[in-house]
Amino acid sequence: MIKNQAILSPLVSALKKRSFSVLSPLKTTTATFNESAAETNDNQVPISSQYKPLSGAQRAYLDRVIRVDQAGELGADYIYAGQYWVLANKTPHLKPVIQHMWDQEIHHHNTFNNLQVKHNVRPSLFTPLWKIGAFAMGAGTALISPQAAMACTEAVETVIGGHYNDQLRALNTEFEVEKLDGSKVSGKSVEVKELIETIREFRDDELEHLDTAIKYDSHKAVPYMLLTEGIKTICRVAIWTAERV
Amino acid sequence: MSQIKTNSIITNVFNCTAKLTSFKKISLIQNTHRFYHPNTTEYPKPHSYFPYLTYAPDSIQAKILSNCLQKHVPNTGINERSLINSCNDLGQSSTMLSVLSAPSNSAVLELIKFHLVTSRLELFHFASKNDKSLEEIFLKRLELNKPISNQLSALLSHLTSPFPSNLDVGIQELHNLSNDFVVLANDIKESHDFAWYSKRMGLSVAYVSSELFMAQDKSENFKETMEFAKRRLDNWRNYGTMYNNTEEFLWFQLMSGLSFVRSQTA
Repeated sequence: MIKNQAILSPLVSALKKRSFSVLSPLKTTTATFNESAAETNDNQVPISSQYKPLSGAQRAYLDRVIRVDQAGELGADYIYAGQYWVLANKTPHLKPVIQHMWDQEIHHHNTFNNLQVKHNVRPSLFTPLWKIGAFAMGAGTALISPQAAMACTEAVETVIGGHYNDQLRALNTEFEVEKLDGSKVSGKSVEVKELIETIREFRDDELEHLDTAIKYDSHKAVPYMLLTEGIKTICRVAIWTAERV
Repeated sequence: MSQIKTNSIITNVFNCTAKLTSFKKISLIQNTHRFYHPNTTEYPKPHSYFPYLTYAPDSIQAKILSNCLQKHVPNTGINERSLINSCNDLGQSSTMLSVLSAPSNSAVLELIKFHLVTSRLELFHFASKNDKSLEEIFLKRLELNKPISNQLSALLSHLTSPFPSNLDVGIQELHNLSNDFVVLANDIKESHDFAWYSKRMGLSVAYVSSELFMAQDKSENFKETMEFAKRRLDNWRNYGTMYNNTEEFLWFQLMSGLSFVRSQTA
């Protein structure tokens, strides 16, 4: 009896070791994290500040954030270009105001262009349309009156500010990833934190533009409700499209 | 007007982006992914085929497929017979074919996809050693087809036969390839608008036509294919330059015309 057990024991332990699933060796191994972490250790980031990979949905969301923000800043850039083109000579007192806002938008636009290239995100397919539409919107409202141009700024910046806030909310809550060192501590990577900082800074700039627009009589634009609500709707549709296409 | 603007932008950007410099440190890292690709210092990739193939390079599937490509495809062709031979080589049962067919509905299609993905990975290693020009990378990719060159027309006809899964793999991988050309080559400027698409489209057309030429090429060491590919790349570059010059010319004419009208009406 005892002899039998002694013979069988290696078999028993082998059976215990063997996992139930026959296909288990075919599955993608997740234990290779540490190996690849060791490979990348020469990149001077300690393992304590490395994170588990983002999920497909998280990567797709970041992709989308960069695409829509790039398209939005492109639009803002061209709206101010249109306003400037019409108003620079007509109303000299507004020239430095629009110039200042335009410069900020150009900075935003360049920042997102850099991010787009760095992260290999495709730009929105409709960029030619956004360019023409935004310039026409800026120039068109400016042709109605300087107040209408400011109402346009107010409507656009309201929607953009709200949209940036939505993104910040998602980035702050949905991107806590577990660390790689097995400490079960989760946090956000420097990269995501930097993106949040960038968006926060730009959101504040956009809301500053909103205040500027109100200060320069946006409420005195003549079909005020029609203008602002119409432009808000256009912006929302554009955001929805630029996120996807 | 726009000239003055761009100058002010540049100074503005350099003043305001103290933050971005820390971004740049991370941006030295490889950047080969279609999606937003988080840096590999903070997020390691599960395996080097991720996310294009579901299995890792050291998996049984990868071993069967690479063995099949090296030993059996040149003689037996791109079909299930060579896959079964490869399974037999490695002591696997032929039921492995059903495992292979899981990601893309067909084991043969998976074999093709494996060739396309691993070739792109090879390209990445090739370009990361030292900076390579577009032409070098482009020709390198064609050279990677040499081992299976006698099966190239079968491969292309398989990818273009009208089944959704074939087209999915073919078009997706073609886009990934042309995207890699742009990302890896050190002599192409990346664009931010519609040109992003036309650039890749043009490269895809150049690549597919070169590959079609290669499938018929009988010259020694594919010399004629390489010449053909170089011509196609030159064409692609010339069209781009032509378009940019035309656009610049028309824009200049428009601006000067408007200024003239203004000066006359003021």
